[in-house]
Amino acid sequence: MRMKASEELITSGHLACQGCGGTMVMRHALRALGDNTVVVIPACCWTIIAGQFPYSSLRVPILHTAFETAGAAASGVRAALDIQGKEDTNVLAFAGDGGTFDIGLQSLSGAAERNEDIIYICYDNEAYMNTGIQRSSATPEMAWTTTTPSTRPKSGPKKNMIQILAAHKAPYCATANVAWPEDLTNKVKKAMTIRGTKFIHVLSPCPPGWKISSEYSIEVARLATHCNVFPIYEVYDGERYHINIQPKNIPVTEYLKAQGRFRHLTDEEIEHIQKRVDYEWKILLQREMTDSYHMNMPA
Amino acid sequence: MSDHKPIVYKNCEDVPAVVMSEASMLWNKTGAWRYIKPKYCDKVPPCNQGCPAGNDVENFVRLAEEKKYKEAWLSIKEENPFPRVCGRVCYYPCETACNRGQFDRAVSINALERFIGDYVSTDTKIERLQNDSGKKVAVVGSGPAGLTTAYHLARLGHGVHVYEADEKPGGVLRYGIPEYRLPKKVLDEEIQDIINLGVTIDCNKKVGETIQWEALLDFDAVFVATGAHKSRNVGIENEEAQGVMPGLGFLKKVAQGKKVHLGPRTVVVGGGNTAIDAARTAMRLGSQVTIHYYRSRNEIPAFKEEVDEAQKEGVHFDMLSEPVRVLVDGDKATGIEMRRTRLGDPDESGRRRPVSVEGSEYSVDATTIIIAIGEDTDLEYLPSEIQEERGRVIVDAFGATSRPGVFAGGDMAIANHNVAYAIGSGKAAAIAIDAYLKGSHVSDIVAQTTIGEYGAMSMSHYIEAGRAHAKNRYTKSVVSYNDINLNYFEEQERSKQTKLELSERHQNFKEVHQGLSEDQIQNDAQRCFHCGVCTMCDTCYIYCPDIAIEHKGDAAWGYDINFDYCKGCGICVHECPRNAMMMEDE
Repeated sequence: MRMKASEELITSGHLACQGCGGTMVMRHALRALGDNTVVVIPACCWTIIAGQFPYSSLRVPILHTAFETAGAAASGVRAALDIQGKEDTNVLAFAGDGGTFDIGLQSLSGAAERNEDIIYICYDNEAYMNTGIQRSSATPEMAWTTTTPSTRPKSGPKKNMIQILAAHKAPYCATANVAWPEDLTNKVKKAMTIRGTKFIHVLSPCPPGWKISSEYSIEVARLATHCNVFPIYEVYDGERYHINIQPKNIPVTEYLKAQGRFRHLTDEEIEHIQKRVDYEWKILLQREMTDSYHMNMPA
Repeated sequence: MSDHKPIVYKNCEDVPAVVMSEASMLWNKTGAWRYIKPKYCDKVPPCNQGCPAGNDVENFVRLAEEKKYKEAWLSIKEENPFPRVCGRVCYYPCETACNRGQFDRAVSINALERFIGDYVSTDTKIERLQNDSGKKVAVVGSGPAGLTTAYHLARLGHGVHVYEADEKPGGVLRYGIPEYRLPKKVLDEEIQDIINLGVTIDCNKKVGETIQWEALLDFDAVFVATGAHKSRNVGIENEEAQGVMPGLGFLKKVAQGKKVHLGPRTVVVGGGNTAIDAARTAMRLGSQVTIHYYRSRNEIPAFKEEVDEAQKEGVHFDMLSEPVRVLVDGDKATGIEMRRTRLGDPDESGRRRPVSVEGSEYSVDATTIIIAIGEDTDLEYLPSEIQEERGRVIVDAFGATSRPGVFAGGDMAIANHNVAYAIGSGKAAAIAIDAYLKGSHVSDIVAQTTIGEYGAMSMSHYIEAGRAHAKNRYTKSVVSYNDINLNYFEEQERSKQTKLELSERHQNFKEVHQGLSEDQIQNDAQRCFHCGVCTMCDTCYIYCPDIAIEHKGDAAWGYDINFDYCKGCGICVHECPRNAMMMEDE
């Protein structure tokens, strides 16, 4: 879909760093959503990227809100629109991994449990990048951040957010990757047709935080999927799994070696990460093969 | 309020009661953050560099992919008057150079060229590019080099008179390459395109015999390309016996439709393309054929595919054998005495030198012996002021000889005896002759007309050279396999050309290669990487985080980069599937 810059709902001049993945997520999401959309942004990189008062780099309304409140604020905007009869207006909660995995988890859980009719996109750059690269529960195992120095890198694996939302039986959960923009826009379009809470988890490379050169942004994101570190799949009703992109099963070391935040890893540590990645991938394949509860219900 | 200007509140009343945005961020020219910038920059695809005839291969493949076969044909004809000939007889160095060859298999460029040439109706006319200049050029020899020069000079507005010693034009294309590889009808139709441009082809005129060299000097310029058609002798006993004939002479007789009686057993001595052509021709005339070559199969200079076809057709190969003498009964050859050889140390060409094995002589019965060990040039008709060296006329990159106004090309002037090289040399000479006639110097434009590093010339670059906008449009940088972003390509099978059944190749000269169907052509055109040439695939546009890349518009080709906002992240350049962009310093 070709659009003129003046037709895009995001304008140039925004304050994102060179090669920012989060900016691409917003651009592709809004290409799918169109201008009948309200965006709710809690504290995250996008609070800055959108620009300071009295400017905005989006051509749709943004409600800037507190860190822990994206799910709640989006629910409120939804209710306010519904009471005015504007049920066709999309409500997009657009939060980073900190505001989703950590600080905003309770309000997101509440919204998902009430099955609020919102689309929640988490652009995941795997740390609190905006405040200076502090670790979050989305930071991958053994990664360097400023609060987990390479002498004591992050312990424990990345939190599986899709599993948490699937456990809420949200009607539609999906992962996406900026390296596959068409897959991302298709998922947003699909989410628009489903009523209830839709959660899309998008891997979004951060050149300064991942310690990569900005031009490698897309390449590293693509490797994450091809190395099975970040599989691209959908979960319907918390039960039915579908893998969208067949990975090339490249060894995980290719992905890790490309980034400065993993530079300190030893061969044994890489081996450990590989084992966990292989295990998670196997579990995902098994889930994809398992018939869902709904499919087994009598008609 | 303008979107592009910052908002300034002069007093408290101007500030809105609710904290709400009033304008976009477009005032913020993030281009100031940049220290390197992206640039669209078409580079030389390896196929274009690899084509000795200087075809814009990538361009005609792209046009074919868009099913614009006529435009594709015109694109080839811009550089080369013989797409249908080359699509059949060229040994496709373009495919050897093709980057796709390192990924899965090369694009079937040769078969694509043939399809395009065959698909486009012979009614389609080639236009002259420039009006009559009033200048006249003589071309000696109507082989691929001479006809190419004549074609390009006629298009550039010059009067061209071609002298041909034989009764029909075409040279080696007509008399050297057999009908089963190149049907005469195809050749005639492509030569007709040249005649239609106003070129006069004067047959049965041999310089030094029916016309004198001095007569040529009345022309404003002369191009000589009489090829290499003097077959070499082995220099063995009884070589002049009846039943012993030179390879090219044999092929020519067959091409002229003359009856050649071979008898049941033919021996071919030699391992070049002429030897293979002669063997396959003799086989088609019903004789049993054995090829004797004094090195092994690995060193054979003939094109591998031709050797393989010959073997499939039933031609026998007796490698590592050299002729000793022709066996005769009276003055009639009855066989040939051969001797075994073994491979010694490599010679200057890198091939292992054959060494005779004494006492290993053996005789072979034969009713006909064809000697095809190479051909030499015949330069006797040239005046002494034109310098020669080792049987070749000394020329510069554009074919200029030591005498001003006299140019030479083809086999008599270049080392590579090959149709595509002959066409390339003919074009280079046409460029030089045009410049000479206009009083300008080719040295000024050589950088612009040369494609890549192997010296092939581009006529379209030459024609554009005079126009200001074309300056520096063409870089010399050739795209290598490592420059391609393979993430954007998947393995796909190469289309395979069907060939005439082996059982149908006897007693006739039906064309062996049957070409590709349109579906196969489409499959292969889509396999092209388009190395270094923008195809407007939108990769740069869609990945730009700063929305700084935009289409030029519905009608125009390409993208504009908005440097007010481009932050210079480099994603567009790094992701470009085909290396059609580059980063440069601010």
